[in-house]
Amino acid sequence: MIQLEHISAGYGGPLVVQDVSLDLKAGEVLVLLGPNGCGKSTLLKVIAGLQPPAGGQVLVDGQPAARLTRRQLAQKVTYLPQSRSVPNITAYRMVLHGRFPYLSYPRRYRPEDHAAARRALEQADAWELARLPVQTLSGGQRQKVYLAMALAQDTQTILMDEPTTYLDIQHQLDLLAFSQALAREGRAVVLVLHDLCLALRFAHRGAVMEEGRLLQTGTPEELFSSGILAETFRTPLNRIRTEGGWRYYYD
Amino acid sequence: MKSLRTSSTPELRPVGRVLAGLLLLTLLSALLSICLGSTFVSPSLIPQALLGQLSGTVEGQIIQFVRLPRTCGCLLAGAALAVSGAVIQSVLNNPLAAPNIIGVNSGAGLMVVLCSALFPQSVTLTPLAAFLGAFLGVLLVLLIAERTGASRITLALAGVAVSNIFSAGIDALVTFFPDAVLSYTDFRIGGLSNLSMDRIVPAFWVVLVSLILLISLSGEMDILALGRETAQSLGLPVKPLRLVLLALAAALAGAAVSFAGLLGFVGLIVPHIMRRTVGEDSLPLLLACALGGACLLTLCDLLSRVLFAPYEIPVGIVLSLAGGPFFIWLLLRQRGGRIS
Repeated sequence: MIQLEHISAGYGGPLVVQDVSLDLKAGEVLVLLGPNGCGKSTLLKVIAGLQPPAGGQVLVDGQPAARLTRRQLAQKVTYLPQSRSVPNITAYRMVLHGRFPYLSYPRRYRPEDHAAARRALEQADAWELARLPVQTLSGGQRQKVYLAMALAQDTQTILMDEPTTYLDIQHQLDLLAFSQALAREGRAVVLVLHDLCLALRFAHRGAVMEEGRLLQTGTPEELFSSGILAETFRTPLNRIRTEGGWRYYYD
Repeated sequence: MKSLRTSSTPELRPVGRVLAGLLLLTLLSALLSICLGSTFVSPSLIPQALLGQLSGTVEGQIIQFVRLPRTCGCLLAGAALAVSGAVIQSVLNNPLAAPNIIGVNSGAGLMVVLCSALFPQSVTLTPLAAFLGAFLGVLLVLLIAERTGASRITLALAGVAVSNIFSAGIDALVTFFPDAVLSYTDFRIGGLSNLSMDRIVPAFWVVLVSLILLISLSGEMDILALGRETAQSLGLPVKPLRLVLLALAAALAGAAVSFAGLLGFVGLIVPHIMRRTVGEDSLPLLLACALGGACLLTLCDLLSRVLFAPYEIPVGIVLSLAGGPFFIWLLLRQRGGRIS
């Protein structure tokens, strides 16, 4: 699906991401973990083609991403940035824009795009919001609309940067459960999350970064057992077994 | 789950009706503009005058050589400035950005005065010079935005500084070449008296081509409005598109400045009102701005002629007197005074 080979990246000064190699797998929720400024968001932007790598390459379906046009890449990778403009348009229109990578000139949406937008809104449980202006929606409702937009883009890989920011706990749980549902459909879902406990609960695999370098990847159990998380975050981490599986918490 | 009509596209507002209403208002304002003034002209004479059947009469002369060029100039300049403002605000994602605020109009004005000083006989060069000046202004502001990641307020202030520098250039040129501008007051404030069709025609083609290109790029503008990163991730080539859009906005503003002078407020007020009326989908927004700008400028110009008839004041004064308080009221009403 997507392979990162020795990726380095930065913004003109010191490298923010250094020599990261990682595979994004279909059917998996991968969470990038690490302290602030460790390069998680930059790595996500490199995968989405928003930030050119200073070294290494991204392979998409075995093909170097650099050889793909921006439109071809947009048909393979969806990226939800942390901060977004909220234009005065309906939720439906916003979701419809997710079909833009599939439009040829003169960029008018076709019946199949409308059908895809409707399906996406229904899947994200947001069809009842379709007629409402996005600006009038709550944070949780907006997130549903953004997710629907991502679904309408219909790509095999979905990248989300801090998707739970500003959401209350119920909406955070809903969003992460939805990410798992997307993975079950065979997509690769990559999340940047700050809430370590939620990340470990919902991720199939985690990638721990520090100062731009990838320290370790593994299942939540493997990462916890190795002690890398407590070491990287400099905070003791504990867990407790419940009926639903392991739950992680700080002392 | 609530059921919605499956066949229809959920829309924010009845856009078609708003556009039809604006078209009607614009036509009405154009009719009033031709008929009213220091001398009343009956609407029934207009078709005959347009067909050249009144060429020997006073009414025919008034329509053909005074009212018609002036009304066409108002419609053209109003539409051009309003659409230019909407595009600049959209590209810079800044509601304070308007051609007169961020130095686009004054950049065009500087080049118009320079062109008039160096080539006083060349009417056709003026729109080109105006475009170059406007584009220079818009590029400077874009450069500031790109390099510094400036906030909305900082960007607007930088635009004001750029605008003042260009304005100082205009003053300096007029000092050295006093004959460069026929009526300096009209040019600085914005005025449409003494217009002739041969001054409007070159600008008309610039505006027409720019509008057609902008309408053809409205789909891309919709995506750009979602923010730079989202737009890029949807496959949009953001940087080249921003440049093209700003060049078209500069061409529109430059074309208006080339014959109407430094008109303010149209490019700021109209996009704000239309955005709240038809929403932010680019195609209806551009059309609504074109109609709204044309209508507003024509009505303000009419007021400038009839308020103190037979004397008239430059339309820029009416625009500022009407537009300034209205805009302050709008800001206070919508956002509790915050610029969002």
